[in-house]
Amino acid sequence: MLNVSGLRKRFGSLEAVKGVSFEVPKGICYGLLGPNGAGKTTTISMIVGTLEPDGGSVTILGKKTGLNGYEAKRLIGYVPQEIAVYDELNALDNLRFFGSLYGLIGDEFTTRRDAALEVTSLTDRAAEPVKNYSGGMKRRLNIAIALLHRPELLILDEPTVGVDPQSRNAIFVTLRALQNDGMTLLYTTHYMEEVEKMCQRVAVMDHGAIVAEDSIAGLQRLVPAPNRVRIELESPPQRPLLFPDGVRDQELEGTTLTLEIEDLNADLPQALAALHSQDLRFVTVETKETSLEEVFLHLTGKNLRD
Amino acid sequence: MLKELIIKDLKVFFSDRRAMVISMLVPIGIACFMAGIFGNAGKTTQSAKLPILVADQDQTELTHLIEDKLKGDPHLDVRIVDGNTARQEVKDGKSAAALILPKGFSDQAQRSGKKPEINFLSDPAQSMEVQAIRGSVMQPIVSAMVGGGQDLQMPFDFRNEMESTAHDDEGNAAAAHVFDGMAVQGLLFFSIEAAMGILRERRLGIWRRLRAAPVSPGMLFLSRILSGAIRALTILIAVLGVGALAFHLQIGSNLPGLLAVGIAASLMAAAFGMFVAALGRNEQQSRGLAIFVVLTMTMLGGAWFPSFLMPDWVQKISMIVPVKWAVDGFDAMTWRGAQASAVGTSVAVLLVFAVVFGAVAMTRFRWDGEAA
Repeated sequence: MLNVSGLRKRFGSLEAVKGVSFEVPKGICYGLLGPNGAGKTTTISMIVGTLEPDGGSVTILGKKTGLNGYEAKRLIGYVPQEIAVYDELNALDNLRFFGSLYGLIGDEFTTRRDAALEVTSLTDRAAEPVKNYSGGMKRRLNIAIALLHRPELLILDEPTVGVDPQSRNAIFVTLRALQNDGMTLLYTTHYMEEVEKMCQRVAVMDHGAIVAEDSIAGLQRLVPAPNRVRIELESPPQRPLLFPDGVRDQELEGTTLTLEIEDLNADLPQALAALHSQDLRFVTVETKETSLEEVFLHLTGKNLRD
Repeated sequence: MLKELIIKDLKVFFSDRRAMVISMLVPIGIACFMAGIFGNAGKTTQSAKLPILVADQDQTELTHLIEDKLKGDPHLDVRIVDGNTARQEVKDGKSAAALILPKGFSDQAQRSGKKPEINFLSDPAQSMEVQAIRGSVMQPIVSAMVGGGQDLQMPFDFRNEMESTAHDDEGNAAAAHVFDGMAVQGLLFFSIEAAMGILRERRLGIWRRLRAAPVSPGMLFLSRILSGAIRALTILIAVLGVGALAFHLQIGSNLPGLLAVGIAASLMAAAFGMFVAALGRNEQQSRGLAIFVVLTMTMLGGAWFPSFLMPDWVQKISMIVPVKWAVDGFDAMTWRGAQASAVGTSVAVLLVFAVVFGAVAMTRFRWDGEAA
C-alpha cells in the first residue's frame, strides 16, 4: 500500500529526517512511534505531499506522492495533529468545504457526509457551530473530514492529543471500525499504549531515523528481558524464600512477589511447588510482558517521554 | 499576586523579541517619518516648490516680466504652457492651479478704470495647495506690475475658475477626497486582518490540510485572493455609500470607471494581505510590521493629506505606492467627473501591484508551518 524509501529532510543545520524507509501493507494499522521532535510529523508531511523531501520517495499503490502528486493525494485521508477545522462554521459546512476539494458534490457528497458523521458519532450535533464542540468532538470532526472521500490510506498524526479518556476510546472505536472495513491506517503517536492497542506493526523513530520496525511481539523480543512472573500471596512470608536455580531473581513487596524466571515452561511449575513446600499459598499468578516503553528504552537509551 | 500577574505579562511580551522590537519601531518609524517631513529634520532637504502653470496669451513685455518674476520666486515651480493645456491639466487634477494671462491684459493694465483680470484656474480637490499657490503668486505679479511703487491698490483682479467636471462644490470635493483616502486605508487595514486570518489558519494546520488535498497551490491562492477582493469590495461599497449619502459623493456619475478602480484596488488589497501572510512568521510580528507599512503607504499615497506638503523626494516615492494610484482613481471617479478612460493608468498600476504581491506571496508562502 504505502512504500517509503530513503526519505530525507533537513531544516538548516537540523537533519530532521535521515533516510527513513518502511512499508505499510494493505489493511493494517501501522504505528509510527517516537517522542516529540523525533521527525514523525515531518515524515508525515512528506508522505501527504505538503513538504518537499530533500531525498527519497513515497508511493501509494504505486503512485508517487509529492507537492504535485495529486493522484496519490486522492488516495490519502489526512488527519493533522492540529484540529484543522473552521471553528466559525458548523460540521456540515466544514464537511461541504473540504469535500469540495476532492470534487464531492450533490448526492454523492451527502451520502459520504452522512457516513462520515455517523462513523464519528457527530450526526446529532452536525448543525451546531464547531466552536461549541468539546475537544473530543472537534477531534472526531477532524477525522470525519479525512474520511469523506473514502481514502485507501488514512494518516493520523497524533489524533488523540489533548483528548479525555472517554473521547479517546470513542476515537479508537471509530478507527477499529474503519480498519475492519479494510482501510489502511498510518498512526503516529508518542503514546505507546495507543500503539499497543491499535497497531499490528510498528516503526520506532528517534532523532529522525527508524531505530526498529517489526510487529509488537517482534519488538518485544528485541529486549533481552527475562520472563517475569508476579505472584500475589495469601499472606506475607515469615522467612526468606528459597527457589530452584531456574529463578534468577526475586523481589518481595508485602504480599506481592515478583520472580525473574529462566524458562517459563520448565521453571515456573518448580517455583510454584517451592512456594507450596514453604507453606505459602498464592492468590493470583500473572506473567508480565515487555512494554514498548522498555523496548524504546532498550533501543535508544532513554524513556519515550523524555 | 498582582506582581506575579504583571511579571508574567511582561515575560510573555519580552519573550517574542522580534514582535517587541517591531511594536517599538512602528511608532518610532512613523514619528521620524512625520518629523522628517514637517519638522526640523527636513532642513537639509529642499522644500517642495508649489507647481503652477502659466499660459501667456498676451505675449507682451509686461506679461513676460510677470513670467520672469514668477519664475524667480523661490517658492514656485513655474511651467509655461498654452491655455488649453493649462485647463486640461487642472481639470485632470495633474496640476492644482494655473494662471492665464489673457490677450489684452497689458492694454487693460495701462488704461485707467477697470482692472485687468488674470484667470486663476484651480482644482477644487486640492484646495489647500490652491490657497498656498494663490498667496504665493500675488507678490511676484504685483511686483511686476507696479515695480517699486507704493500703490496700495491691487493692480489686477483674479477671475477664479474651478476646472473640474465634478458637480461638487469645493467643500464636498474635499470631503470626497477624505472618503476616497479613508476607503483605501480601510482596504489595507482589512488586508492586515485577512493576513492575520491566514496566519491563524496556518497555525491551526488548515493550510497544511488544504495543501494535502488534490488542489494546486495556484488554485488555493487564487480563491483566497478573489474571496479577499470580494470582501474588500464590500467594505469599499459601504464606505463610499456612506460618503454618497452623507457627503454627496458622486458615485453614480461614472459607475463603470468607479467599479474598475474598486475591483483593481480590492484585488491589490487582497494580494497585499497574502503578501503579508507569506512574509510573516506569526501574527504578533506580522501585525506590527504590516500596520507600519500600511500607515506609511497611506501617508505617502496622499490618503491623509495632500502630497504637495511633502518634500520632492517623498512625492517621487509616492509613484511606487499603490495607495496613490487607488486614491487618484477614486478621486477621478467620485467627484472629479473624469471619463472612465482617465483611470486606465490607475487600474493598470493597481493590477500590476496585485500580480506582484500575489506572485511574491506564492513563492514565499510556508504551507507547512513548523513541521518537526
